[in-house]
Amino acid sequence: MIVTENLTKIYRVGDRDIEAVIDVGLRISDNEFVSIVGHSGSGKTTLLSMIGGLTRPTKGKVFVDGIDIWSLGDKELSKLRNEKIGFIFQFSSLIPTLTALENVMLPATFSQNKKKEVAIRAEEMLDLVELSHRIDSYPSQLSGGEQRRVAIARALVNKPKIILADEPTGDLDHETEKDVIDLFLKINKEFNTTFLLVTHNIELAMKADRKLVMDQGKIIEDPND
Amino acid sequence: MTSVSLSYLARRNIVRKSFRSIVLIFAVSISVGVLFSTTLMLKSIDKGIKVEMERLGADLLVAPVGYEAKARTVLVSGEPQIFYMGEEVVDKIIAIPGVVAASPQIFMETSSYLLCCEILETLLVGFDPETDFTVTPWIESRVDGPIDYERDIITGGMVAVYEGYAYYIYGQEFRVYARLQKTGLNYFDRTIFIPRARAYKLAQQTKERKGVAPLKLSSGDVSIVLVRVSPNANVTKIAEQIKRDIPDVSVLKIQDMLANTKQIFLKLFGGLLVFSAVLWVANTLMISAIFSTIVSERQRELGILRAIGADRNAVFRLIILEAVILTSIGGILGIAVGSITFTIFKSHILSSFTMLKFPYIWPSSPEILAIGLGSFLASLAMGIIGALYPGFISTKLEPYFAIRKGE
Repeated sequence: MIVTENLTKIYRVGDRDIEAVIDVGLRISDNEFVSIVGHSGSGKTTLLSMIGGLTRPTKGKVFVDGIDIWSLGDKELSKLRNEKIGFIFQFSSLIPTLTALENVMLPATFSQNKKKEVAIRAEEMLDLVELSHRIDSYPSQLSGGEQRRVAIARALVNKPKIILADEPTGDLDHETEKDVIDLFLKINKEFNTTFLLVTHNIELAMKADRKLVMDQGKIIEDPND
Repeated sequence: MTSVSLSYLARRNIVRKSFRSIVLIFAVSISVGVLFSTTLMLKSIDKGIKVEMERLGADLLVAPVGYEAKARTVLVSGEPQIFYMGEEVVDKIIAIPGVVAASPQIFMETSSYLLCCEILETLLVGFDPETDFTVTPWIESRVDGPIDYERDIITGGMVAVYEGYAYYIYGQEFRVYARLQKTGLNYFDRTIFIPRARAYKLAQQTKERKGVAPLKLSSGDVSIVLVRVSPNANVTKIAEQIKRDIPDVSVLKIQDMLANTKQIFLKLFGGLLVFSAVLWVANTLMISAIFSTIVSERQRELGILRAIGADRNAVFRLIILEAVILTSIGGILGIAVGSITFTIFKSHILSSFTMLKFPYIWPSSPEILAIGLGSFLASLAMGIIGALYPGFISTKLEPYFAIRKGE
């Protein structure tokens, strides 16, 4: 379960303070598929990053399975990201010097998981995203949709409980976008993975169990409120 | 492929920017190669000096005033120099409190002999078998029986003769009584040592015999006196005492004389060491600049690595590892090129040392290995120190901003 309390992020730009996220309180249950929609600059990505332990909140707390993640040290927080959270970004986030298989195996570099098991699971994940025939391809040899699917496989390789996806289909065509979202729903059901999906696309957001709307740093619409 | 290790990631990054990597490796190899070669030469001179000191076994050298430099030349480089003083100085020196031994030596005109196709120059030195502590302790092999002062000579380890064989000096037949251990030092290796009394007699014989160039030496002439002092005595004070008591002599401390040789070497070749140090610093700065750029270029990648579980330490190690792999390759290349160059040009280098009048002894294999290891560590240090700041900067990146900045 993910819980946020009074989550706030203020950026200092020059001599101005910009409130990107303001006092966000949120509860996301296990296995829930939640989408967040909103205009550009509404604070969606910043909120996701604070929940994922990528940027420190100015104020407030984030609890993942009861752990106050921002009270953890760097080592513990990195471990938590590695084991419990899988990230899918809005751009190609693959390491260009590694093949598809190596990219999927990469999280295991920073975990205690047995390397051989990880290699097998990486191949399984590539199979799940229907890219088992491209395991030796480098990112530059893959299409945008294929790169995104490799990133999904990488996000799943350590069997995380939570997937945080930030505009994962932003630069994909309609057909590929639909495939990716269908894959998310399949993963959500098959692996009981909690999904938090940030998107501009209302149609996609509607496929989630719950749709949140953000504006000017605040959640202005939440079916649970 | 069963895992992606940090070192694999670092290696892949190196290959990605192959031109930059090659330039960096080349720069490091030049710096380490120069360091390795210069240290090797310095070690060879240093070793030569140490062996020279051990072999001479003397604390002081007494020479006629004005001939100190020539005396040094003979002992350090084995080059013949002719100068004499009266033998009465030996008794005066031994009478000084604190002096435990004083042994005279006579430097005589060069004797040349033909060996197959080339003429090898040898130094002819008269020594005093009764007081000697420089020559006889280092005999490696000799014929049975006591030395015959009338016909026996002792040769250096590089003189191409065998003990028991006949050897002609100024037309007189001598017997090679013994050979000294090889040192690599000309003064010991290419010298023929003849008992002092016999040297005087030889000079007389050359004057009486027609068809032989006369050996210009008078009875009672000595070139230098090697002095050994008591272990508790103050060498400087005894040197001053000798100068006070005996007019017209100069006194050199052996240790200072050899240290001076090292200073001369450092003056000649120290520039290379400075060059190597400057290169080392320049390369370290270059690595720092290159890796600062790398960190900046790869912000998104570093942010992604953090997002998928790399802690600050892992990112830091990745940057350091990449630098260390590059500088290690450069270091190994520099040492290999230096070693090959030395192996190919060893004889030229050694003859240059001889021409420059330096005592030298080629370092042993373990010593060369140690110098190689030291040079390799210098290359590692270059990578670690150079990448330290960029590595530190990489740990300070907040993953979210690193990812966004890299977009």
